[in-house]
Amino acid sequence: MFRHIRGAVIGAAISLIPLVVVLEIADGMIKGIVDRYVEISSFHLQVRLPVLTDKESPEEFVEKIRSMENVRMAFPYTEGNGILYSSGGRTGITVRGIPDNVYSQDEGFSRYISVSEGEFSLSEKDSIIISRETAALLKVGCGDTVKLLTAKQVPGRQMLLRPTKFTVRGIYTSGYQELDMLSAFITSEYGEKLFADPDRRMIAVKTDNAYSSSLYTVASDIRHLSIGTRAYTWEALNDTLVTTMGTTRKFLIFIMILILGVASINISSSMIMIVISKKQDIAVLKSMGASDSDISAIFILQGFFIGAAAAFIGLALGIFAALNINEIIDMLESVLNMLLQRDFRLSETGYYLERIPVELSLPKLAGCGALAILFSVVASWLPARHAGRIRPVEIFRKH
Amino acid sequence: MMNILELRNLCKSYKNGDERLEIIRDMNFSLEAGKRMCITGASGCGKSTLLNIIGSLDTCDSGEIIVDGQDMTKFDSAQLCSYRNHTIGFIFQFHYLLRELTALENVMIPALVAGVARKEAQAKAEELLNSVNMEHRSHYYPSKLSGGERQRIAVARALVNDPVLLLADEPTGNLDEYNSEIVENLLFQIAEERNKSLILVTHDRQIASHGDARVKLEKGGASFLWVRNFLFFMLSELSSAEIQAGCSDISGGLS
Repeated sequence: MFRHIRGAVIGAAISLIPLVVVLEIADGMIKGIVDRYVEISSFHLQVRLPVLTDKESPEEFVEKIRSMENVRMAFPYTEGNGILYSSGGRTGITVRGIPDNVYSQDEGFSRYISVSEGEFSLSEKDSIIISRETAALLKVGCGDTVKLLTAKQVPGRQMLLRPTKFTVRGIYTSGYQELDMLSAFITSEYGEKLFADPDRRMIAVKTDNAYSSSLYTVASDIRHLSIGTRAYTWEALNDTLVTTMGTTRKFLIFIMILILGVASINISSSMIMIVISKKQDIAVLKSMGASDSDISAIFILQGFFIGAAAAFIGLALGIFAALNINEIIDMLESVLNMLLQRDFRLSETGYYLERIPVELSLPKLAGCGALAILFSVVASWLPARHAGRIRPVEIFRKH
Repeated sequence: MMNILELRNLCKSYKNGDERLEIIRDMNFSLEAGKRMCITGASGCGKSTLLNIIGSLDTCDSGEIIVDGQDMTKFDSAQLCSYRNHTIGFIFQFHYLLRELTALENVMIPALVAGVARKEAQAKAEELLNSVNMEHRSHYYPSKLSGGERQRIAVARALVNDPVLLLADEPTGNLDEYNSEIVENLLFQIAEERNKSLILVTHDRQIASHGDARVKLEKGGASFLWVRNFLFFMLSELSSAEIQAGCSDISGGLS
């Protein structure tokens, strides 16, 4: 009997590990990626001002927004696309015009910007801060000159292409290469010059918490500043990204739950074996007055304990694997590279975070454990019902 | 004296292919409270089947089984469980002790099934182990006990809920002569001391002679069905056990 129980517990525990790892890592990665978009790309809110009258100015709106409750920072913001090139290469890029003090004053921004060369300084008018990947692509370093080719629609004329010379003042990485490859930062002044539409001025806003309901309160307050003022939350600006990641996460969890389901079939078959081996004891208990439901309850309880033991072991191993996932991947890569004698990468860092962040959440872990127990109890239901229906006289007659 | 058990027109048959095999036909008898009845008969004559029916482990085709004034055949499943738990104490040929439990825990089981508090069940079990002279083995597992010791534990287990009727199905069938005697004496002694009615199925005529009443079941006949289901013996003129048996194969039956 203990062999069957042990097998069922081990099977269920092992199947719980991927669910825990996927849940914690998927959430950690999604949060890591979204955080980077929210803090250095889209910001918490983007405000599009209406056509301003002569008496109105963007600075006036910035001041009003800054004075709002739950607003941490607000600054004029420009954004546009262009081709950044040097003698070494070229790349399409999204360029953001921000004030020089954003890096020093916004903790959220500086948290995800790690300067690997030079400094994050936009004090010089022609400064540009590019990512490590862009620098490698253009084969430039700090102090080198790059050119940004932008297009601008001139009223009554065709599209005007305009190259602008910049000096690389800093090279950064956010740890998420896909975002880094597409982003560069320039001064607000140049941003205004190259991308600003005088009729559609923009303001970037950082709130106290991008993930709380106060974000929507701030957005609503901003929309009430004047008719035509629009405030877009980071969720609306990154809608595709958030939806894609959410859907991927759901599919992954669904597949992992299926694995857990398959393991519960193993529990069910182990329980059937236990019932078969315990037929005589069941008959004895029934001859002493135990009812069908008493007998069934014993096996349901056994299923519960198998699930609980599997949950305990599976969660412990799952948490351990999740917390050490980077080391595990590194180790597996080393082993594979040694065996295959080639440079083999398990994860393509171009599309993922360089280091996988893990988001340990007690309620989610408790949910995983509860699911394992539930599956185990459900799996034990059929054998338990079978056990409850055993007729003692048939067992005694065979003995 | 009040009857603890009364069988009225009890019939039992099994389906054997297209044929119906009659095991018990129109059986009638009664047993007074506190009396000991021994049932003998050849293997396969239906002794165990009769005991299983009285113990509600098996069902009869027709007839009534009045135990302690109630017709047990009309009980629903919950009442049958309670009946097996409180009214009947079963002792099998094989001890059927749960091997994962100690002697003490095995004796406690029926009390725990009845919902008795663990402490109280333990006290009862210890008292019974003492009365079967097995207190020194209370923490032993069945695998560490001899056959005779296991069967004495089984006797204690059957008594833990203080049943009015003990059903013993060849309890010495697997034991050597020495242990058979110990268990047999113990069973009769306990039944007498505690005023329990006892139905004992046995092959051993000597054991059967110790009962207040003896019944012999026989089978046979050209059709290989039962020709005679039941014979009874009044062992003593003073015996207060009233036994009535009937068999429709024998004209008018026996009484």
